[in-house]
Amino acid sequence: MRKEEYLQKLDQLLYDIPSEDRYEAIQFYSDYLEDAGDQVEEVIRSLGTPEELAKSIQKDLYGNNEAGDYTRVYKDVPGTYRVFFSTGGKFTGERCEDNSRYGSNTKRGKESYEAGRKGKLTPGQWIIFLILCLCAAPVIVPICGAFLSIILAIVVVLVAIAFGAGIAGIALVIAAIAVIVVAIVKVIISPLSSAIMLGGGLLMIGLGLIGIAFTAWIVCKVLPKLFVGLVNLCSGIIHKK
Amino acid sequence: MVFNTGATLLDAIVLAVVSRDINGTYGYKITQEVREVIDISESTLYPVLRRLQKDECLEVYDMEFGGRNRRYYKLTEKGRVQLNLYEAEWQVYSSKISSMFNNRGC
Repeated sequence: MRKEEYLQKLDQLLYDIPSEDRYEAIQFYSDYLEDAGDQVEEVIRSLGTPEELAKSIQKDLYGNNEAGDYTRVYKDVPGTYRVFFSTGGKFTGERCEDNSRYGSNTKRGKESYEAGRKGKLTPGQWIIFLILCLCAAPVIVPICGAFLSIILAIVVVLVAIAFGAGIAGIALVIAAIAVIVVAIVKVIISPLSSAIMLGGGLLMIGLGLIGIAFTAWIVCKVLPKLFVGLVNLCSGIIHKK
Repeated sequence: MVFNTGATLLDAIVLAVVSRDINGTYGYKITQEVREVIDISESTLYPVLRRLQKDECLEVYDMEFGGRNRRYYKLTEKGRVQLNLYEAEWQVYSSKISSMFNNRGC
């Protein structure tokens, strides 16, 4: 992901914190990525997705840090104690026993667990959600229908163009071969018209190959991209919910 | 590293790193220098710097660099006092632990 894209996404994800805090955070990470220079891609990778970073910023700024244990990624070794110095001079410890998370961090595990819980709707929320869906149906169904029709139309048109161009290309190549064969046969009887036919035949082969290449381009490049785009769009809509 | 670094120790390390540049230093450099000593993720330092700033241990200023404003962090007087305290505490703590290991039974 590019730097600007990353920061923009982060900015959007921090919409619910005070604008001053958001500005500060964006300013910091904008500086940070600028200063990373050549390493920027690596830095972005280790910062995690914008979603993860946004979550950690929110948690760090407004979370409960009384135990002095706020987000830090230290490698937990099974069988060791995690020791924190709290600001009050108290001591807190937590035993790490989970071998499966070796090398990762207990805190983050908890976080994603909580996030998973937050993502699930309670029965009350489900009912409200269903009612909202029913109310919105008269508007949403036609819009979705229209949208799908447009996409389908685009796909059909593309396929038709590809098919037409392909068939025309193949036909041209076959005709060209016939013309060239005739030209070769006629070469002794009338060399002049034979040369013209040969030239015409070669031209037809060229045009036919262009048609076939165009078909191949649509089938191999354009259609897959269209499908990937569609799938991304759909998953984007679903994940936003 | 099997030992975890707690919030206070991280504060102390960050203050020490910032104190090395009299005229102040910037977020990326601080992070990389802290990472030379302890294993923290890239995203750990922002909240720490921000809290130290709120606690008035660090002050910030923006300075033009390469056509943009870069934020610099600088130790305040309060930060210096805090760092001295941490250092003294650390000396006591680490020497106790070291002597414990030096006098172990096996």
